[in-house]
Amino acid sequence: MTIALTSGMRQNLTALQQVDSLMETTQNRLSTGKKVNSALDDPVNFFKAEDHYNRASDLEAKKDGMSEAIQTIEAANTGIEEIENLLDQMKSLASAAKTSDNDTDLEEQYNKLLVQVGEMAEDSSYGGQNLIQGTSNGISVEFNEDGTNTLSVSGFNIAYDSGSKAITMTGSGAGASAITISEANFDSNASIESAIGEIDSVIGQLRTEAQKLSSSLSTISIRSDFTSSMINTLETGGDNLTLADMNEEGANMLMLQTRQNLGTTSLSLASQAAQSVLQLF
Amino acid sequence: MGLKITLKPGERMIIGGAVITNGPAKTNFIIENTVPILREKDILSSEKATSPARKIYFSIQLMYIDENNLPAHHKLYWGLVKDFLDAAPSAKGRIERISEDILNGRYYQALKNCKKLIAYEEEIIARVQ
Repeated sequence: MTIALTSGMRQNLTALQQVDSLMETTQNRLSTGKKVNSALDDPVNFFKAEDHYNRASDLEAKKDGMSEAIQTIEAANTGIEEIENLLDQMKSLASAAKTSDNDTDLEEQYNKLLVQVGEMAEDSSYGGQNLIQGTSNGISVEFNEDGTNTLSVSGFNIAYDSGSKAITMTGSGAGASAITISEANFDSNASIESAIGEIDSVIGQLRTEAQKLSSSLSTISIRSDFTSSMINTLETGGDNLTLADMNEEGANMLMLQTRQNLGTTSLSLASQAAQSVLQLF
Repeated sequence: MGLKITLKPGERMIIGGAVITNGPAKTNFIIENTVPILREKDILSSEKATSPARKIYFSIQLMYIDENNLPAHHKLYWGLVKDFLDAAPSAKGRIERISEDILNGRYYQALKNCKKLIAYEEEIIARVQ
């Protein structure tokens, strides 16, 4: 048994096939929206423009790197803020211990928070990078296309040592000393004072580190903006070398309009229903 | 959920090939299925298709309301587009967008994008006048 296509289906099919072949030719036509399309048209301009476009796309890739770095720093910054909150809470516990009878409860809470500080630092990583925990952590951000101009952002280390039961903070930069917050001992006012002293010095150090990070952050975002405008410049430059001139196009358009009005490309569909419908408007 | 349309008194529109003129009162109605709909403000009459971009708009309009003759309208469209690109290569991006809509059968979207093309054409012609 043969399967016959109805005339409607057949018409549809041919229409689709025609659209398909038109699509092919059109895609070819559309790809030639430029004055210079290949090295043959104008080799100097073509290669210059290629160069600009290539550099623009290289920079685009570096820009992604920069925005990742910005995110990494922001993750670290969030961590720092939260750690500061925890430390403030610990400080108020220690202050409370000065006038309270149930030192042991307060000690216990204090020690729990101490562990939390370490865990918070551990969790502040972004994309596998953690700027606030690790011994030789830090990121290097590349700015130019070959990666020779860079900025390195060094991190610091906040870690809880379960052996000595203490938080150790090692600042960034050469010769940074380590400061620790030990497990609580709220027996005497003197030891409470020393605990508060430890917390204060860590908070101080944290703020210094946060400032360093924010300065790196603003450097990177300035560079990122610069890169964006550089990409724009390069692309516009490339376009100018290859795209046609707007004034020339305007003149061409007028020509085309005149030509079309003279009937070269007339709307030769006057007899069709759709057009007579449109004539009503 | 249908498409809700409000017509002003005397406003006209095309629904599925029929021209409808509203009577003296304001009308609200809802169209429940998908048919080609063109409101008066979106319709370009053949007399007004005086510039290259407007002619392109007109040809897309024909595709939208007259699907039976798609191949002919497509042919007309691509011809106009080729001339347009020859005259104004910088319109490439805009035309690409319109063509993509057309090839995917989104004629209404194509009309919207074509309005931008008309504005662009006015801009480049204004440069030489």
